Amino acid sequence: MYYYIMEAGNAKTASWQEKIKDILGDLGIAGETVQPTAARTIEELASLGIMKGYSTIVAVGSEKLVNKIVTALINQKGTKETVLGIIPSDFDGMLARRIGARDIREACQALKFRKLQTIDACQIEPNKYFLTEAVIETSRAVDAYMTLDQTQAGLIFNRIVIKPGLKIQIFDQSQQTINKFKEFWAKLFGKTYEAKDIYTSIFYSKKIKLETLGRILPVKVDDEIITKTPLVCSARPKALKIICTRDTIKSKE
Amino acid sequence: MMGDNKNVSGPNTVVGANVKLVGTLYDANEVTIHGKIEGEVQSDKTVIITETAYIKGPVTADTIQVAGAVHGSITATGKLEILPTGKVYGSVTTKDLSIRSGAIFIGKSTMPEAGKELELEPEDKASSTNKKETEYLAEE
Repeated sequence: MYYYIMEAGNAKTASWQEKIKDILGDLGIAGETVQPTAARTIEELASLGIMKGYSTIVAVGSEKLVNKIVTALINQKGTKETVLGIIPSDFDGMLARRIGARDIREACQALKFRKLQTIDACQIEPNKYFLTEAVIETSRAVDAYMTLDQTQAGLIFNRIVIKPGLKIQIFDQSQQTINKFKEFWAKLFGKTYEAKDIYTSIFYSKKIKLETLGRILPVKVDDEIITKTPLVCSARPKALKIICTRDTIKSKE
Repeated sequence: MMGDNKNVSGPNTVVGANVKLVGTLYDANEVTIHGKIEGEVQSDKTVIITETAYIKGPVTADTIQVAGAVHGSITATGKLEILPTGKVYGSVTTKDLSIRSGAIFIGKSTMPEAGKELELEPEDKASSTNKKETEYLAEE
């Protein structure tokens, strides 16, 4: 019933995975365990799990691994009944907060109790999905042109963060640096300078099209480049069912 | 939130100072504008137009605070406040208006509920004079 995809890693990762296998065995939810290799990618392993008819595919590892499995699950047609379980490697991360697990044992116990929650995902066209965040970053501020549903916007930015639900945060840190510099000089001469952040924008939309002018920038999800600008990203509400801990409180993000 | 899709909404929308937006901006919650907007701004709650903001188009919300420039009509179902740095060029409709010293307001102001009272008064007066006239004619 459970199909575990464990992230490939070093000796430390292997011992961590052994510990998880022990806990899963104790709880009586041990299943087939696979690991990506040069011959079989994470997406291929996830597709294989779906084809074998497993009802629960569990991602054991980083947020990068989880997003790749999410992409495979959503792209596979007719997999509405396949549920995603997560045992995160980082319990301070966004996904650990989302499932409500504070440690390995809680994450494993959640798999046993199978409390399901339908969650939103983000789609980067044509066929990449993520549950965490996509980041477009550059050291020098660039001009861009953005379309949000029926609205067009011209903007200057050096960091854009896109989160599920389609929350778009736009930062211009060059202006923030200038503000910090002004604050420093004011303090030096015994004056007060209250720097207001007026260069950060927050939008909510169902779809975003972003085109950077004069430069092509990489779009990263979990520090991995998955596409480049121009970017089309859309919200996929209730795209996936995940297993959460029993006391998870639904967060807006 | 944006455009015609009014069913998506978040905690609040912020338009940064280096953003120029063309189209309709809608949020069920608070909207803060530091940048430029050419088009309609709508909110079910509050719209805050800061000193650096420039809006060319109608603004509709429950509470509106203007510290920047607005070229267009403003409709506040609750309160409209034009701060000392605020500039409004266009008609305003609200039931609670506050214009601080230093603010610029060029346009027509309408207070819907107060207007109803005004409209009623001349009619009442007219109807009472008509009554008097008919009474006088009857006596004759």
